[in-house]
Amino acid sequence: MMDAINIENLSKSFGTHRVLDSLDMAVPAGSIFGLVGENGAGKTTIMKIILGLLAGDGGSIRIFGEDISASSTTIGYLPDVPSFYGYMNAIEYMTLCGKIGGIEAGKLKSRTTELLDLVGIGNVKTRISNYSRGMKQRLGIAQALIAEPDILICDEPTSALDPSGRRDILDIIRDQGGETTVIFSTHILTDVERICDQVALLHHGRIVMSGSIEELERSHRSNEIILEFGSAGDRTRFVAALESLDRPYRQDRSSVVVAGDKTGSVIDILHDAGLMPLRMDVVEPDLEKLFMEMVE
Amino acid sequence: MRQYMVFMNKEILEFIRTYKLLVLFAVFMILGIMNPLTAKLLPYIMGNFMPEGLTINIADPTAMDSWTQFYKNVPQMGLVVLVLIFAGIISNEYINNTLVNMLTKGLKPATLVLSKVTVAMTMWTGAYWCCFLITYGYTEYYWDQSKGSHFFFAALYLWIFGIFLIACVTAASSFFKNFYGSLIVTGAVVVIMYIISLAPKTNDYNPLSLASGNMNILNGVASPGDYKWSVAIALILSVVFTGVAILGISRVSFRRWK
Amino acid sequence: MGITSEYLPFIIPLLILQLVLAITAVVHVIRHPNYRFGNKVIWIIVVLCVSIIGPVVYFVFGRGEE
Repeated sequence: MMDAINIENLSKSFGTHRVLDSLDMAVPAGSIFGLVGENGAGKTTIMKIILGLLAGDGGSIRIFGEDISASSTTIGYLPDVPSFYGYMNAIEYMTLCGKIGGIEAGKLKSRTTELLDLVGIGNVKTRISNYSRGMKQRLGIAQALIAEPDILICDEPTSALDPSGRRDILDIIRDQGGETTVIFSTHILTDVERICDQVALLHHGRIVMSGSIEELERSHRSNEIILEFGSAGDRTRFVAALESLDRPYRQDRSSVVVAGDKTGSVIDILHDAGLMPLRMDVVEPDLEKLFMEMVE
Repeated sequence: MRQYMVFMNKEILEFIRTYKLLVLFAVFMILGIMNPLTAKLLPYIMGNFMPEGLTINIADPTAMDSWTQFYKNVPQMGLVVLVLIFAGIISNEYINNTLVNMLTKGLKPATLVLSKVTVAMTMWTGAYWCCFLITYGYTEYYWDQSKGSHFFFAALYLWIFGIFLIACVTAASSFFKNFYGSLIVTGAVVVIMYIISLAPKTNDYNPLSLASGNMNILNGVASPGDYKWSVAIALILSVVFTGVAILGISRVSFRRWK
Repeated sequence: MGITSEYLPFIIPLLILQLVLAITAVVHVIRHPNYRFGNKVIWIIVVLCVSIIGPVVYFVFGRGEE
């Protein structure tokens, strides 16, 4: 699969503060790519460099194989706080964006209506200055999509929204996947799990982990089984049985956590020792745990 | 060219909907009426300041008094309002963060600046000549203007000075993310030109002469040709300032868009 | 004295222009009650009492974001 964006060895400093540190990143074409990292990790900086709004200090950025300075790929951008000309209404603003972006006049009108309906503000006639934060986010997506971009970049698209607005926005973004390559940054992992097929974790200006979500979950960690016992005695006997079998485990105040994907073997141990736990859970790895491990 | 026309339309819409066009035209039309009115009222005003019983022959106002008011009020008040209205011409786009959506659609910095400057200069042209025609009409009606010479050139030079100021404020505006930077820089440029003008030899070259020598042209003391270097320098600097404004915006957009 | 009638051709258009400026500004002040600084009462006073400059200053500096 061709990479929509391929970044190698990219660095960026603001004064003495190094935001990106020899960063490598590849975004497969057609994927929905989640860029995860805490605030200040450099997510917005990467996006702005890809968009040509900032210059990197070194390294190479290729967009569909072409160097960024020669690329003519259309990239749609939803900034973290989208701002508009408040004295216009949505249709006027979309028309301006479309004309600047070079959409044919004949197509522009239907595309504008279509997109405004898609984001759910098709019947709003007021000027943008009267919009709520959520409406601005919706218009922000519509304007990012007006020029039929090959790549769509969304900076924290859900951070300022209520749960229903957030679900709507995620659905819209997910529906763009396939034809459009979508990069979206967030610090909310459930958003990533919901719609992304690729994910990268940005930490201290580097990508510390990236790949498809299933792949990461598979390769980084197997299941764990958590057990709780009714008495300290039962627990001690269980731990002793584990040690005699050389099974890795860890324990805290109330529970014992056994690594391993075979539930059956744990049941055998319990059976052989004549023990009945109070609780036994199988825990699948999730991104959050994975990322916490990587960051620590 | 397409982007140029489109963004000019956006600028015009902005100036209409933010009432700046209305303010600009209203102020210059008011000035146009005030000039002849002040000239006409001047003897009464002067008379009121005279001690009782003392009579001085105050000459009746003439057409030249009306134009003296024009070339005093337009630079002192009109140009100040002009600079105020266009002070945020580019910095407002930084402050409100509105450029990002345009630049990522492929709007080129040069196109952006040129369309903004074109609209600003067109608005100045309209407001200024409207003011001129109003003063001209009243003056023609109330007085005899046959003694003045080169009405057009005298007015044209002040117009060129306005063009120069717009280019200056645009250049300054593209380097500040606030409203005041461009005002301070433009003010500083005018002060520097004023200080230079204290050396009389420099006046043939100083753009400021275009806003101060107008009555000399009308009175026939100077001929329009005397200001050719001031005109040339003002126009060259206007082009340079426009280029500087493009550089200012290019700082925020690095990608060479096709 | 014929002074008043003599000045009518000046005063009528002047009054109209100043009224247009002042009324536009007052309506805007009342309908958009968010300002960069100052409050509604102050801006109404400024716009109505400081002729010409009042509305100019309001539209250039005082009005809030659209």
